[in-house]
Amino acid sequence: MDTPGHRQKGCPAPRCPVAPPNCVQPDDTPTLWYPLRLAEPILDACRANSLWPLTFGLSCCAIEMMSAGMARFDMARYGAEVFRPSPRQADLMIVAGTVNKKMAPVVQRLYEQMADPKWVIALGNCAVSGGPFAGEGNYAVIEGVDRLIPVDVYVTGCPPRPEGLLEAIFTLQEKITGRRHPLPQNRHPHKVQKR
Amino acid sequence: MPDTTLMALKAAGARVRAEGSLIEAGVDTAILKRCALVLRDAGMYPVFMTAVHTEAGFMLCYQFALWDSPCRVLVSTPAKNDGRAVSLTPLFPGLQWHEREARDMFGIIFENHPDLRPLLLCDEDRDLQPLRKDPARLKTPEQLTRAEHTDPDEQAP
Repeated sequence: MDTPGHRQKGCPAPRCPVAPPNCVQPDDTPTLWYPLRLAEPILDACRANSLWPLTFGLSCCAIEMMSAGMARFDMARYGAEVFRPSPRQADLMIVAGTVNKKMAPVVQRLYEQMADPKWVIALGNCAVSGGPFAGEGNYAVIEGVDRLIPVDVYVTGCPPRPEGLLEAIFTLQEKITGRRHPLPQNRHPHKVQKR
Repeated sequence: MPDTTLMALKAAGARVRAEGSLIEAGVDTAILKRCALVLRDAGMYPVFMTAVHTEAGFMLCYQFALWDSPCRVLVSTPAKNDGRAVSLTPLFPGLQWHEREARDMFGIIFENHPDLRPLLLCDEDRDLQPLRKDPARLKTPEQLTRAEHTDPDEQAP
């Protein structure tokens, strides 16, 4: 039996429950902004190559995040080194560590203060699932930051290596643009990154 | 630590046992404040304060130390039967957060404490008291005191 609904031109939902006059789904009808929408892939490539993370370390995984930002691993090679002290200027939140119940409202508020488009990386087992704290008798730790805010990339490890964070940046760039290395200068000289 | 302070502690009613620079003092609730005053006058500062849940109720443990010579004083005192205790924050402001933490973890109410908001727990969990033990697993205070340096013939504090 069919569910009630309609199919509007360009509407991404096959059976949208909202009747046409109230439907707010975007359509592909050319408007004044249409050229800008055509430029969206270019904008995405720019976003992916200039991720500005929020300076936000909750516990020991933040040490690995700092390590990834410093000279040896040097996240700057991939355009993600400008750690911002304000959520208003950041578009990537790296949740590096244990989120406990007392901290949860702050994490949520910082995420809401970030301007769109924004992405979240859960770095380390604690941010992914509560890590060693998830278990019987846990009263203070949020078991996974995705219970509070949407997460784009999960990095496991206790703590993950800085290479893990770099790989998460690559994965996020791939998610944003559809290509693993959106700008060719980020590609390694050897053919090791072929997937 | 000067012997006069040790004498003053004993005079205040503390059960004192000294091993070199380590001094253990068992203190009753009524004289806790007086003993703390003696330690403060000797120039000691509090290192930490915590509580232990035992069969006999809550034991409060304080550690004091001196800046200029190696000396530690371990003070243990039972909380009152109704789970309340005397706050030492008016004497040592640095104990404020420690007592707030003990309030969080055990639910011990400190009298005359200026600010007993939850320190580690969030507001909705303020009466959770997560470190209270299962009654079946409680131990006696004797089982929980240090045994390795204790002389069996000596009177425990």
